[in-house]
Amino acid sequence: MRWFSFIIIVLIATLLETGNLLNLLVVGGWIIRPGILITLLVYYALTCRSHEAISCSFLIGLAADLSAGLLGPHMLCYGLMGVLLNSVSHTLTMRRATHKAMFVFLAFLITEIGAYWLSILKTHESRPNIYSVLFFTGLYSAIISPLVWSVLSSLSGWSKTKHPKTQRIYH
Amino acid sequence: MAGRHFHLSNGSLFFTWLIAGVVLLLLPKDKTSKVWDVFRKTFDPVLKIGRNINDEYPPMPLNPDEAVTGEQYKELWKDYNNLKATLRELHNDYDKLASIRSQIPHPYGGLVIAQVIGTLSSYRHDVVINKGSSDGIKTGQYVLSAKKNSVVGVVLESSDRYAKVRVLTDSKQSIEIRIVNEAKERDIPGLMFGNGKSACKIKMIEWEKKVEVGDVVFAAAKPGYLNVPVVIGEVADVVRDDKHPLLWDITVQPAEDMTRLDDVAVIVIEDF
Repeated sequence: MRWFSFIIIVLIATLLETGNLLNLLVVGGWIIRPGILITLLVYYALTCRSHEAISCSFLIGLAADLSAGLLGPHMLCYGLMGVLLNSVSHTLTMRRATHKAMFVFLAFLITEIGAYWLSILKTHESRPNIYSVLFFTGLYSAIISPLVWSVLSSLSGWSKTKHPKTQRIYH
Repeated sequence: MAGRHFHLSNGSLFFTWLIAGVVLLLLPKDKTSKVWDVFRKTFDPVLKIGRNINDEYPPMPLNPDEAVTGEQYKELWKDYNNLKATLRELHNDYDKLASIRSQIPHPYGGLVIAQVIGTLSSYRHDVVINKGSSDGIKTGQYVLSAKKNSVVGVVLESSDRYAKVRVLTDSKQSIEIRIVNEAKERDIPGLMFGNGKSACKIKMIEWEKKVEVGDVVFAAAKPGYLNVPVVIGEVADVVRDDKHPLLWDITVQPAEDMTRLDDVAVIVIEDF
């Protein structure tokens, strides 16, 4: 794992999630925009070695926290989800775009709902229509995830020094 | 041994990160938000690239009690536009008062609340209300919706105890209107007709006059019937008239659903 390259990729994804650029893709009255970091989480959790996947997942979670403006909730949920995905990566084949999209969608829903509950614990602030917003954001993120995935795959030679230990191809 | 590579087991690494996450979660928000502030300030120029939607979409209220339903929004929208129209009229009257010392007219005269008790036929947009000339209702008076905040029709004829109201969407109903866009300081007078369905049409507006979708359409003030403009709806479509290319063919969507009128209020100006 080339950590410097990984940090650059995560930073770019965080800036995309936080900034105005993705507002060009906004749909609906609920301001639904796709998430990039969740695809990064699924990708790195499934393709990295366990040792790297743990750190990658928590770091991507920290980036999601920076993007959301509240430190802690995403870091924990992304970290746990990353470890969980990594532990089942040996039994998964993710050749089809629909499989990747489905995993991103489920991962997004579980992590974001968990992060929302943790954020309520921290701030005592609830949001209206949050579950509908999360559902459609997850759907949108899943739809664009094969594209993000292919970009990450093409950058994998730049960001990784070794192939995953299972030698599986996740393209 | 000093240069020996430091290595944590997977379990230790996981719990180290987990503890770090829990600590960040437990830290007070005002402490952790400083990190976020530094991040925002550092990358501010990059974050600003793209489309700023904060102006287009106001932030969602955090408290559900502060949010309103679509129906409530519609009512508030009508009230807001009526209040603005009333305010404009009051401003005009105030200006006149300064010079001629006339009286400020009331926004409405008297209001007679009535119930819609039936429709006359399925193809005409006429309804019957349970108040008539004995309550002061006369032909030509304006009829407002149940919330008394948008014009829905005009009294066609009245008997002692009943009156017939023709709603604005009826193809035989015409009404003087004003198309207002306050932001662009436009106020265009015109005549509106029903299209026989659920909308209305404005046809005799020259194409040089700028009309846009979203402009608010008011019933024009009419001495003895309506002292101030009252909202009808908004412009839903603006296209060139096929038969008269120098004119606009404007479609107006009434603020009220004319097929669901239940209670209405008739404006009765007694001192006319």
